[in-house]
Amino acid sequence: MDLVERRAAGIQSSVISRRFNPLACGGTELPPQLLILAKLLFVCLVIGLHFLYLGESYLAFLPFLEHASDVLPQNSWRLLFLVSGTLLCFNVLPRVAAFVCGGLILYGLLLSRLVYSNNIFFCGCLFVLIGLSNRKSGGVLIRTQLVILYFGAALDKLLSPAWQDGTFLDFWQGESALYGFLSAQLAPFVVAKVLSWATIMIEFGLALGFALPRKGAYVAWVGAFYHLMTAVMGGGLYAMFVVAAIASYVALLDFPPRVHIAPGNPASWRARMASFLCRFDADERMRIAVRVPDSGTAAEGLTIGIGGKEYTGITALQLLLLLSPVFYVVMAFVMGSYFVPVWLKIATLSLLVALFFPFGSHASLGGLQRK
Amino acid sequence: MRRATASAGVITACIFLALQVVWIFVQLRMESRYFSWAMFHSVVEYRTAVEVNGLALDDEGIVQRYRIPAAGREYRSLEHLKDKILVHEERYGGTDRVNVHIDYVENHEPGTWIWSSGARQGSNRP
Repeated sequence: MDLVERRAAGIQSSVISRRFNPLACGGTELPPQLLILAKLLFVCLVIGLHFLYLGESYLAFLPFLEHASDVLPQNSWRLLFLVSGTLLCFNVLPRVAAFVCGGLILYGLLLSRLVYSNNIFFCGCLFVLIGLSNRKSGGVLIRTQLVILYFGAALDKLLSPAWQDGTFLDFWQGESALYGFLSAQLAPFVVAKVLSWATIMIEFGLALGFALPRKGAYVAWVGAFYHLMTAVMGGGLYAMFVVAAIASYVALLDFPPRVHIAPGNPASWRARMASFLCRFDADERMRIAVRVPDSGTAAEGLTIGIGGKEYTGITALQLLLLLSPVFYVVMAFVMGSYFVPVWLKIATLSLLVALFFPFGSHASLGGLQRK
Repeated sequence: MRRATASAGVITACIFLALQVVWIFVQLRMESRYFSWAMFHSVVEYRTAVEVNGLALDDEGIVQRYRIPAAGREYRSLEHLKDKILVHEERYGGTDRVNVHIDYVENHEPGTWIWSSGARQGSNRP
């Protein structure tokens, strides 16, 4: 192996212990990627204040639930949700906690037509599936949920006359300056029709792409790019939807037990960032290593070693971020917070989409696309 | 025991996913499309006028009665709007004599929906 660990030399030391650590995602009954996804969803639902709307029974979908708040008041619902989510974040019975969170969300949605929304329903489904999964099936279940989500969305649009002839899009985007400019250049409804059919095709394509076991990195990138475009057109992240959809792609990753990081030039920003991320690696998955070059000269750039394979350049940077729980924490607080302005969220999403373009072969996200 | 529980969990998850697929097709027959991943089904710009026992409600009164804005945009389906009003009246309307009038434009198509208490469904006018 070219990368030799330097952990024994005291270069790296995680500043925090593993047990009950919200940054630790390994060693539990859930695979790390599913635990990260569940924690991301919970944090975003809380700091985005979305959970506050749920739990009150009014215009319930099922008539016998109309007065359910008399039995379980809204504040009790909120408390239960917060307690379950906190247990999840601190790795205490994470599977059960995820299932309870999901169950509470689905129950909360059934309680009221007023709060019904696809984005919260999607979050509830993800939680429930995480709670029902085992170590082998989790990725497949989330992938299937994504297939159903995009298939359902695409089929509805395909059968809608307003989507077929572009009137939906024309009416929706009627006040947009960019759309107005583009549609003025062509015959009426041409741009709307093109965008409508592109949307339908992309959504069917995403459903098909997630159904196929390979090329996950490309499909996830196309999905993120598509959601970025819809966010730009709609001027927002549609409550939790864009965040939840992109967060769910994390479940497609496969976290390796050991990652060797050769930061290269210690004065470079990459080296400093790698060192910072490693300090918060509560799972002790990342090991700082030195590269033993064949040519006898020290490597300058960042190199990541996973299972005997080495990754350099932008791929190494992508891997470093994707495998660092701190990265997800920062993203959750930027993308999920109620108090962060929408333009900053969209700008961050644009940066992510640009940064995570799957350069090179389909293996650009490392050995992570196992499923 | 633990293994059996895990398998039962996965089987339950598969049933949950299968039900979603079935529900997508069931909801294709309905205009409301609840829980079927129908996002951005249509754009409806609407303005609601409500009369209760002969007195017209102002915008604030409509928000207080139905907890929906008197005017706005709905991105799912007009049925969601109608549903909220009808279910409210059915469950909380009591003996009130209510007339609801919604002027809307759905995907460039203007229309009006009128409902009076006692009527099971409202009527649409182009």
